[in-house]
Amino acid sequence: MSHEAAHDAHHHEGSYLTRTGSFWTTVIQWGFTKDHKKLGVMYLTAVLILFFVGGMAALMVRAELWSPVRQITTTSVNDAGETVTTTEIKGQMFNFPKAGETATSLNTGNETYNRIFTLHGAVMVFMVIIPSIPAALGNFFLPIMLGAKDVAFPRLNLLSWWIYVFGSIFAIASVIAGGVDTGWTFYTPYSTTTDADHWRVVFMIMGAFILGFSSILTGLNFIVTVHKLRAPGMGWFDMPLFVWAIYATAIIQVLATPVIGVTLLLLVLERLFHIGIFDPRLGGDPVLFQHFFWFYSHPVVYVMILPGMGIVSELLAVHAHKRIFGYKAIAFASLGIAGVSFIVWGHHLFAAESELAATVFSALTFLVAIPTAIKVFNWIATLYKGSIVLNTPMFYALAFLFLFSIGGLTGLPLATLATDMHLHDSYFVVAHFHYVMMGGTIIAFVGGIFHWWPKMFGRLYNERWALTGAVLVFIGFNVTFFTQFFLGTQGMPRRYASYVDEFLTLHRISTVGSWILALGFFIEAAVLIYSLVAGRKAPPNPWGGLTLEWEVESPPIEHNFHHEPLIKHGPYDYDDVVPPHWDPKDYPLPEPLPTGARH
Amino acid sequence: MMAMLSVILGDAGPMQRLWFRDHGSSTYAAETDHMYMFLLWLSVACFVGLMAAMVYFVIKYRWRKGQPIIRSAGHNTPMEVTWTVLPTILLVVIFFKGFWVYAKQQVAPAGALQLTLTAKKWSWDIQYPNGSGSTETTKIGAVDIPVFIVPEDTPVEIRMTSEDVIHSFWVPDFRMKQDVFPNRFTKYWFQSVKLKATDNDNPALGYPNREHWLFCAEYCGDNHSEMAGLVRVVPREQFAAWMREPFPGAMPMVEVGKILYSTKGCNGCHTTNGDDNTGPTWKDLYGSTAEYQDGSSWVLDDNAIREAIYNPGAKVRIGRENRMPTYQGSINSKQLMAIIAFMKSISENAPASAGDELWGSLDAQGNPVEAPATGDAPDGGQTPEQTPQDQPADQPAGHPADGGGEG
Repeated sequence: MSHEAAHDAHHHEGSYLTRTGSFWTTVIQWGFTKDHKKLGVMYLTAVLILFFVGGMAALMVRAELWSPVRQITTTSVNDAGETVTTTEIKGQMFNFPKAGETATSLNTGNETYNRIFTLHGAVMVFMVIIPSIPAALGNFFLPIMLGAKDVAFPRLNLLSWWIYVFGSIFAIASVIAGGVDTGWTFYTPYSTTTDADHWRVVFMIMGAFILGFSSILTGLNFIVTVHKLRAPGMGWFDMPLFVWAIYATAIIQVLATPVIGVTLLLLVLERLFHIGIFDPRLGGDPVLFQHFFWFYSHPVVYVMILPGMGIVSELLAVHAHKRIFGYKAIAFASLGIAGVSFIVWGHHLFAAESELAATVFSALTFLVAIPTAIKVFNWIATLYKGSIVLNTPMFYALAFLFLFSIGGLTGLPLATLATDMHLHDSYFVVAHFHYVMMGGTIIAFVGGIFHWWPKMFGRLYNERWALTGAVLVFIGFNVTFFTQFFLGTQGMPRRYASYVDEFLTLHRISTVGSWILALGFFIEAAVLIYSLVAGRKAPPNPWGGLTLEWEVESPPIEHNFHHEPLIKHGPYDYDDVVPPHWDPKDYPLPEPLPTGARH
Repeated sequence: MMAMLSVILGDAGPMQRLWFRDHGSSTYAAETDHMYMFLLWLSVACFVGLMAAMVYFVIKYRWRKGQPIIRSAGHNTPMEVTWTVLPTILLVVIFFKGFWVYAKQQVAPAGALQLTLTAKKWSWDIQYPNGSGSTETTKIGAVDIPVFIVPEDTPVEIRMTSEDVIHSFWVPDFRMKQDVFPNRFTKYWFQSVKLKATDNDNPALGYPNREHWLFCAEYCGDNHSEMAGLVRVVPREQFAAWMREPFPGAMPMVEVGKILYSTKGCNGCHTTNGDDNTGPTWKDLYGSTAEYQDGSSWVLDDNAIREAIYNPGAKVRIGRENRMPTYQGSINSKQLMAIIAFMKSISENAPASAGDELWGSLDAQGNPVEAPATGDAPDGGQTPEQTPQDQPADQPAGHPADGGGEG
């Protein structure tokens, strides 16, 4: 390629993926690497494996809800001529009576179900969504987008990774020991009294506690990196919006995570040593736990969604080849959301707290809607007069706008006191946060993976199959979760292993949707794995992006840049700059930008 | 045209039926549904507008071979100000609309029928003033659940507490829920709408009725999904008749409280006739205002009494010293509710209860009885064992406890 010829011969170093020794040498090199890219790839692998685990749990939850639990009573006459009445529990997925016996107890199946939905929630929140974008894609791309060789504290970054592994081991040990049935929110006094003599609940809580440290240290690292390691000439407003989003996220992580750390520690103290903090029988107050928990966990909702918003800003600008509309508004909206996120936790307690508190928190909650709405308007305005290529990453970005808008708008009846009194803790809430967490964050994450895959691994993927999978994910998602809005308004409560007959049809539609969704994700996984094995080699800049990661090799060299990059244009100056190193032959599908084409 | 649209899109149209199982069966449900439909159509309008623009742009500005990149503005201040200010105004409107409905929902009208509820894993137990609980069960999935009978078009207030973990009382048809805590009382009130002659969810009863699911909405363990109940709304006269035939052996709450007053030793320090003793007299205590040594004051409600009994040293009244031991562990939540019922019965400051009217002073046909306790009300069929309500001596006339015992 022409741009490579411009470089000196000694710059032909291997990529960060180049193996330099035997298999075990390579394993050790990766295990103790300080390279942000390798750490990013390891996070990505771990997150995707755990996403598979959490997804399987979700499919089991949906399978249990295929039919309600029933008690079947049958009368028969035995050999002795006596009339025998037997009752049997039907409709439970996870009730496995011994051979030759019938299921008679409801609790076994229900308890297993409760453990599975807790597994789903805890894995998806603590081990998938929170680290997904910042730790995996953020680690890989934040330094490159800033023109840096690495993050500010590479050794700390390695430590964060091992803390993440360590915390996950605790959580997984707890699951192997039978799992916990507390729900991912660990509400007291249930969580301090259930499974009273078993260590697994403590292990799950300790797992979440340890994962918090990983989150704090990563956040700290990113904040310093953004402040200190921007390339010469890169001002704050020359940073890509993905960096802005990760920056806002990191602030929340550093400020809010210690609170959950302390809360979980108190929970463990109460369980192990019966120090009365939350359990009323020990003189504690269970609502105090909810305040502590949501003081962290609400800001964390924005730890989850802000990076997704950052990715969407990138995807829309690059694949529409268009200057992002309202750059500063989007950047400040990220910070605004981060700020407001700290004062709205009380809306999780509308059915628990005093009327005055509920009123104040309702009012504050509406504040979040304003910067969020501004972002959506800006993204759609970005499409105006663009040169839009509807490929897989772009499809995910548009799907994000569709799903996240629904997620955001259905937040209105939940923030409104009168309607929330009905919808609180119902399936409406389940649908709402899946539209935000999954339709928002996970869809953006997967879109980001397809967007940056050629850069990370130097391979292209099959566009046709990738798009097919994406469409299935989109359809499956809506079938699964839109149904649940109706379930919620009609009166279906959350976390139910069974339900009254009138909800049967809607539950079945939702379950069928989960199968379509799973099929879509399996196709996407196959597309990506196939690309690693047999994908065509990717050029440095397959999409014609203007941010710095598209100026480095695919995959990047160990130190990212041959020379310290000089910032000559903004990240989205599509109407001023021809994308550098751009060769239309590199990527035949879709049709690329002609060189020199501009107004 | 507008009329047709408003029928289709309105609160009681087919779109409402798509979202809700019924038209809302409590007096405040209609306002909740109205609020929901308002938000729904607002959201649909926003969403369709946004998506139409998105799809239009994606099609119109799709990449074509050889097409130059169009130069366009990076921002547009008037437009950005507009789309910041407009949603802000809308959100303020939504907040206030939602707040007013909520504020109305939170205040129970005076004279509500007072019920008490204890929740535990995994059952609901409602106690009526006559000491009865649920006298009927029905089936949900694989378990039997209680049926709770309530009068139509009457405010009902339920004082709730839990014996173990947090539960949440939700009747979807009433559009209201309230968490139930192990360390305090919370209140849930509703007033069902008037029954129509066609309301006949359970035809076997032979009179109009509506049946509503009651669910636990706060995760509470294994059989969380089986922690349900059925709330049956019946005509007032049917309710009055049911109330006059309490479950065999049931003793009115006030009576239980009066007995506990002696058996738990409350009478050692508290009088019921207004005389001061080691502790304040219980006469007119409930609903009065207590001034504490820490400078705070508290209108003595259920939670204040609970605190005083379980945690007596926490707040000490001005002019007294705390001599009372804690009764945590020796008085359970049901006994506590009975004691509170007794305290209310001897306090002028306690709000009146609709139980008086519904239970004591109506005959089987629902007609008011002119003079209570004269013994000529047509309530035949009651045996003296079932009506132990005629003993209390120091109760104000007209209280529910001396109403039903005309026989």
